[in-house]
Amino acid sequence: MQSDPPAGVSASPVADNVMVWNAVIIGPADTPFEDGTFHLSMNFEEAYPNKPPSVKFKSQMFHPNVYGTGELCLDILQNRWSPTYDVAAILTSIQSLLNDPNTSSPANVEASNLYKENRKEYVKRVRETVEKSWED
Amino acid sequence: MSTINVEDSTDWLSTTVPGLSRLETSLRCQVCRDFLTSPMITSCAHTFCSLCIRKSLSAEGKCPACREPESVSKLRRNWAVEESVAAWRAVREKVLAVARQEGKSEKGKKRDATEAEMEAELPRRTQRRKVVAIDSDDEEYRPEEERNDGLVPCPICSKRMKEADVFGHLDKCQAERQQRPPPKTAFNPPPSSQSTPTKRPQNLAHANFGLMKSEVHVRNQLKNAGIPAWGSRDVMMRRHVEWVNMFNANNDAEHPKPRGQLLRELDEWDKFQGGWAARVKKPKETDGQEYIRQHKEHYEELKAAALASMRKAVAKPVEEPKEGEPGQQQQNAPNQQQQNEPKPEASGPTGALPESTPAAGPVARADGHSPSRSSWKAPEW
Repeated sequence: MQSDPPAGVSASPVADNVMVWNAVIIGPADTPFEDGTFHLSMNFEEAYPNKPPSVKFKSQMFHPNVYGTGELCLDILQNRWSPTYDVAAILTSIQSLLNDPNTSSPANVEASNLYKENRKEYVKRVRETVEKSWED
Repeated sequence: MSTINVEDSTDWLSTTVPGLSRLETSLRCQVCRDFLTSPMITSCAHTFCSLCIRKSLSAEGKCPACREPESVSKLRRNWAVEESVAAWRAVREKVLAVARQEGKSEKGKKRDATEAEMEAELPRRTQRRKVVAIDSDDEEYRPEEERNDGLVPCPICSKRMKEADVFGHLDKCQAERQQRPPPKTAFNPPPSSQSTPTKRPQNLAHANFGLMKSEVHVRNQLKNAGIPAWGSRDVMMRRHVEWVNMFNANNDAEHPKPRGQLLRELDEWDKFQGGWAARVKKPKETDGQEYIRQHKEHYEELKAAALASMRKAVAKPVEEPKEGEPGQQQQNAPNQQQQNEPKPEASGPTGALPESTPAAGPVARADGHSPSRSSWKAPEW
């Protein structure tokens, strides 16, 4: 991951515990999330990679599939998990989720409704979190 | 932050032969990322370390690569890959040194020349190899008439014995063979495997703990297996699963470890469980902003790294499908169909999705959704 990182994501373990990683995802270009610097944490269990890590946004997010607590609703971190996924794969997956929300099972109903019904307002709210992420 | 240098397939990317990265990826396990150890092939034709696939099937009865249902009884040894891994590991360091050195000495000319040479040499090598293989085959079938010892060879194992003993021996010999196929492929059989074949115990079966009402039954199961039988029902069950997987994977190894060592490894596993169980004890739920503040320095580093990788990707916008991807994309095919996702143009302008990430799966959701202006429209679900 460190020797050949995927674009716009980065992660490494915290100083005293390899089971906890921090990560940063840059919002992809040409999306409302563009240039956001979103902070995440990843907690691994000893059963990894046979169990997915629990991944959380620490930055404030406004996204149909991210709960207010920062927890994500993403299939590959739940029922479609595979032990072949590594940190880089998880992060790039989340990165692409940003602009490709699944509104059929929203974690944030308000974001989901705005996304479907009032895109302009949705984008405005997202941009607010992007700007906030720069202060993190 | 200190960096630990771990050997991996990306070591080749900065050498004069970056394509070796792909070769090496194919010799590594998609689960543990290490070189394949006692590789096993699944019925869906994916190969993993014996221990990795066994553990993974215990957790979820699906192939980690394609998510097809799979069971341990269908696993088979993949000797060809085992040979390749051994051969590659034996020369890796040397090849790496050469591939790095070359870049340093004469960039450009020399490199093209060597690559051309290597290509030119390839067919020749293959030929030579074939000849060797045929030769050694011939040796095996050399008529035995020069030996006038009055004995005849067993048609299966070639052991020499009195003619009258052959039939009795055959039954035993056949049974042994069926239990364990000869441990080497036709090419390059190493001398070790030729001599005495290692006697292997039978594989252990996983216990059906669901049927065991009382904890005593579970405990007895562990005692019978000869492994530590302390701890809660849950710990004991997991320990037993771990033991069966370790034991059977060890059975698949060319050189199985002695039981004592396996037990020590199980003990390590136990410590790891205890150690992590204590550590993972849900770290205090700090509020997001507070957490970020506590890890400010770390996040600053990460931010810088992420931005740098982004710039690098922009600098070389045209990304061919690269190392390690084609195969994996193929494996994804079923996923994509299952998901029935709309697929816009293959890879958006950010084409920056992981180059080297063997991103087998996440592509499941990410696939075809690289953010691009055109694909950014109302959801289709």
